[in-house]
Amino acid sequence: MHLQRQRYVLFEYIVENPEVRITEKDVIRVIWKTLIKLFGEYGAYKTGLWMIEFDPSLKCGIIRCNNITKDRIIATIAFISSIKETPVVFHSIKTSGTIKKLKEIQKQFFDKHR
Amino acid sequence: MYVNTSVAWESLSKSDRKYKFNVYRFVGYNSLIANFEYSPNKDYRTLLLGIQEESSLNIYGKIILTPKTQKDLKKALKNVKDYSDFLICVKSIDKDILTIAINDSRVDAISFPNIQDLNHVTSGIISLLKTQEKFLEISFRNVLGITAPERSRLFHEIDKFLSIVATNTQILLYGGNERSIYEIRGPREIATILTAIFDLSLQTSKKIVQSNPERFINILLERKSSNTFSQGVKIISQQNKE
Repeated sequence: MHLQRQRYVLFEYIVENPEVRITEKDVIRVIWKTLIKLFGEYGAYKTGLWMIEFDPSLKCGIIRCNNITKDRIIATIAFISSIKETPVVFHSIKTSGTIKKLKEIQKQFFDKHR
Repeated sequence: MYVNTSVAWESLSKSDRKYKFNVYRFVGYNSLIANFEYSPNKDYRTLLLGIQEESSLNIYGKIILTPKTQKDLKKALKNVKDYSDFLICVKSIDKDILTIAINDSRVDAISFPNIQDLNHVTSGIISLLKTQEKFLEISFRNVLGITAPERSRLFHEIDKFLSIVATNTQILLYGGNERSIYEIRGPREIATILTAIFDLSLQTSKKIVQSNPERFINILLERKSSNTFSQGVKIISQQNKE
């Protein structure tokens, strides 16, 4: 059996209608729904998905999964096409093994781009 | 460098176009190849200059020919022969047209933006593409915004197609050809989809999304360079020769 390590994925999104308020719960719900649709209940539980952080002002968040199913999570994020019937584009920025490193990357990224 | 080899823009207004190019940058693309639908009296160069001014991304042009008959193809190729600074792409499901297009040196790629059309790609066409060093462009735009059973069927089509191309992935290109801004997905996501859903190796997925589109652009850059004065004929310096 492979040794499972945790991976943290930093993602961001853009919404068609900025007036629609998207909460952490909405994002978690849509990720789980898409994950189950794509990989089934068995595949979804194997990912060990957990939302670590969500920032609606920066429109970004960090999710935790394991190293083996990391690709499934990124693929799932790409398949999300709408939240609350509003079209969205989800984009994974970076994956890291430690949350500390990912937060540094997040800070650098948003300082550079916004 | 990530290149989206198929950007549909002609039906968009100026502001929508600007926004679309920004979204491409947002998801991680560095260069774009804009699609120009073939029309006999179109000034492609002026149109390309216009959109190049609207974005800081590197934008190149690609003329798409959609011939209905072999005669149409020959006529269209004759009309675009002066556009050596554009890539030429043929979109058709007719086997004879595809064979002529692949054998013609003016054509750089053949395109299949609809997944349903991929069953027209036979192993003969793939083999011909490989020997002529041409590209085959595919897109996953139909996969979004459909029901799960429909998506399963499309996945099956893609999987069947990828199993035919598996040993010849040097000819495959991923070009988005997205109609809506919200269908755009990043190159990193596309590579991961190919790995996680279609069981391709990470190396192969990166080839389809990253290195093959780069090679595709290099064809154009080489053709544009002052050292090349006709296809396949290049001036090399005496020093390099030695």
